[in-house]
Amino acid sequence: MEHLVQLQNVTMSFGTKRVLSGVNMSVAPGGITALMGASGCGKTTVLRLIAGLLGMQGGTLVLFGTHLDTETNPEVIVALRKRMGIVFQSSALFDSLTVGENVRFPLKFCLGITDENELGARVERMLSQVELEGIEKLYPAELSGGMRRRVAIARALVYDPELLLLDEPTTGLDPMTARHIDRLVASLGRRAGAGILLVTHDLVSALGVADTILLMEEGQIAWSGTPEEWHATDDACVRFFSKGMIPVTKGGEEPWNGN
Amino acid sequence: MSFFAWIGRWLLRFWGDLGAFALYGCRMACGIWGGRWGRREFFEQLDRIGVGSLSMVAVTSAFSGMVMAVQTLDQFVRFGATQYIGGVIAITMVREMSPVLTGLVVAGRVGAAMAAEIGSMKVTEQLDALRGFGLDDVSFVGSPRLLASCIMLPVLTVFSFAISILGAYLYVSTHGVSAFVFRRSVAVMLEPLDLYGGVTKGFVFGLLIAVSSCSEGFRAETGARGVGIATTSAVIWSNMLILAFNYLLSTLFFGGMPRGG
Repeated sequence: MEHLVQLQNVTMSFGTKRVLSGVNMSVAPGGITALMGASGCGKTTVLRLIAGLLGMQGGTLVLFGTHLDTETNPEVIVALRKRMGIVFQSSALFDSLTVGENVRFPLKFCLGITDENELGARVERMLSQVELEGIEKLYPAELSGGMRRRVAIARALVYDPELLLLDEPTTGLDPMTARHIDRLVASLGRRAGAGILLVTHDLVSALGVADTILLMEEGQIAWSGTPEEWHATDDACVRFFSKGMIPVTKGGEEPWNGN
Repeated sequence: MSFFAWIGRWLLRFWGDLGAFALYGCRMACGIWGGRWGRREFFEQLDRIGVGSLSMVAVTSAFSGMVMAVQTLDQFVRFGATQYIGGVIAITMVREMSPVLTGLVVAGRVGAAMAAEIGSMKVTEQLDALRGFGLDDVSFVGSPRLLASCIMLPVLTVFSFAISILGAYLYVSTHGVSAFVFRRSVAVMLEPLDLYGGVTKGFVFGLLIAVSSCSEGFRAETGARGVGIATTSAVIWSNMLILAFNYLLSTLFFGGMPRGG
């Protein structure tokens, strides 16, 4: 089975700060891969690299079978972006557009659909799938945080992307709303057949919906496995992350101490 | 830090900013023809820049015209040249005051709003979302603003000219200058090149406001502070560029030009 996304020894630095130090990972079609790790470990950087929002600095990214590196033509990346949906941490709904216009935006500008009846029907169907019927005319500012996330998920899925990237979709939400979002992501993603990369530090969320879990630490994938393996493993990084404790490195120093 | 190091950094930043304006300006201008942007956004910008600025431009222009009349009427009466007052005020307003005042008013009102809005879109990842949909965020957001600004500034300049002349007439008419004399001096002394120069200035100022304001928005650092700095920079740059280009365009259109009439 060909992976939707494969990262091979990907590196990234911001100025003198090394953020990714040789990341190797993949996302399978039709499955949910959760990328977890502490804040600042490079999770969102990986997502932005895959989304083409950051340029490659080192290593290789294979996206839908296309090899991307520092020399790749930007037009190739633009074309590939249209095959993926992204849900940003802040939802990133367009403030000046209504909910309905936000959801129909990718249909118009990515797929070029202009037929108003088709647009309306698809928007209505998508909003009903995220259980937000009848709010097409509201503006994002009039919605709660959970509703905004659901609209963002609807917008990302409305044009049937092959890959769905979610950046911390449950951050800042109460536990009930967060689990609701988890269920929506899992059910809608699987129904659409899209491969899903879920970037999160919400352990409950990752263990609840993911098929594969990747744990990042200091710019690298420190552990990977299934949720069952997560529960069973004795890996120090996993155990420490689960318990919210700071791991001790081989040299005996706490890696985040003083940072 | 030594004085020379400070000057060096300042110069580097100055030229860096101008370079960024040129690059963003080119992308926005190219986007008008080749890019994808919403027609609705364009009409909204026409409304915001044009209709939204009408009242401020009207008030500023009316009082400026009246002040011009207050300052010049005494001198013209003293030299017995009241038959020229309408023309002199009209030339001053159409060549210099109307385009510059309109530019400064729009830069303060609309330029700041453009920078703040685009800066906020950047901070809240809306620009990233556009790129995520395979769109060029600079042309999608910037091009309609650039086009609307270049269209509405000349229109506002002509409107400003008309209102300022009306304001000047209202003042001089209450001080013994007849409507016929005022109107005739305007008709005799004002030449097509004056109007052409004023409207061209309006167009260039519209371009400068949109390019500098949108560029500052696109370059905004993250956070509320970054948006605030971008907004302030947009207004400062717009005003400075308007005044500098006003001098250049005045020299180009009117420098050393002998007047007929």
